[in-house]
Amino acid sequence: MDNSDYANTAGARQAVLPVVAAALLFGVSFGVVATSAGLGLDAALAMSATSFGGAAQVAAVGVLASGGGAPSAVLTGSLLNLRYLPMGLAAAPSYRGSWWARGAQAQLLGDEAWALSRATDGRHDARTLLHTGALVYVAWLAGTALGVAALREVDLEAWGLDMVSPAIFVALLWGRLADSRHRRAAIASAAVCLLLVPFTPAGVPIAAATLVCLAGLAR
Amino acid sequence: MSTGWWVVALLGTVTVACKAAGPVALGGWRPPERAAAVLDLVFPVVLAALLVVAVFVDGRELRFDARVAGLLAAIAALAWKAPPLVVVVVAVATTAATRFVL
Repeated sequence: MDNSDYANTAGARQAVLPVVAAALLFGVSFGVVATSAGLGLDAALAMSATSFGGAAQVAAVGVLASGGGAPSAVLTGSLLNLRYLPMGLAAAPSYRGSWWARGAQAQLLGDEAWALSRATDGRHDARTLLHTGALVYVAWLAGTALGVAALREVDLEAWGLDMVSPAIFVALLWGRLADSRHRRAAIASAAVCLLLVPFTPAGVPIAAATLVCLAGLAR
Repeated sequence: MSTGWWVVALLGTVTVACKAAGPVALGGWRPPERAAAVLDLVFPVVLAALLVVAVFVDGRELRFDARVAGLLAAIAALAWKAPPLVVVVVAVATTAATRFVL
């Protein structure tokens, strides 16, 4: 195993704990914002169970809370969760069982679990994908309930906890950059994202950047 | 149905469909070479996009703040071959300390 590739190593497993802790606290923040947008405990939990994607949920209820209307809220959240389509495709070979079992397991898909499950050969480790995904899912639902009930926002930023996920992303990306095709794709994706941010609504930059993958056809 | 529940139902439907599409249609599938070349790039592309949005973006503005210090500290830790948990702790602590000072 390449020493610089963290996925599937004991090192990657260590990263699960901060990911779960951050999901719990981020879930509390979502619960608070959801309440301020007029969602009850049932609606907030239903959203966390089905839309399981922190940024999309916070953005969608944020639009609602600021009076942006339901169509705009749904569109913003959908754009932010659109990346799960290519991510699900990339991890598809790792899912086993009947079609409905695969579809149900895929609901545990999250950015961190997906990233940590990636093996050196490009496959996704099914156990890491499901176990880490399930832990984050439970923490996210628990955090949502706490946020709705407690009505007090956790100051994630004062503790620097908004950097847990980015730190994991850069650590996992680090091991990939020796490959020039991966390096070029990562740089192109980052550039597309940053160029689009000032001109497009939230969610568009990431969704558009995923199209950089199609450069794989040009080889 | 209230406005909130409409958003919950529609966003939930879109998300469930996006996540399930690949695994339901292609579980246990071995992609052909050209498809594999595209899917191989999903990992660096998605991580790079999530990373720059998380570090350099605030709403619809590009912003350089304490998060950049956290990112640089994480990169320094990686250059020292630190394990992921250490990288996360270093990034979080540096970001929090920078915010406290600024």
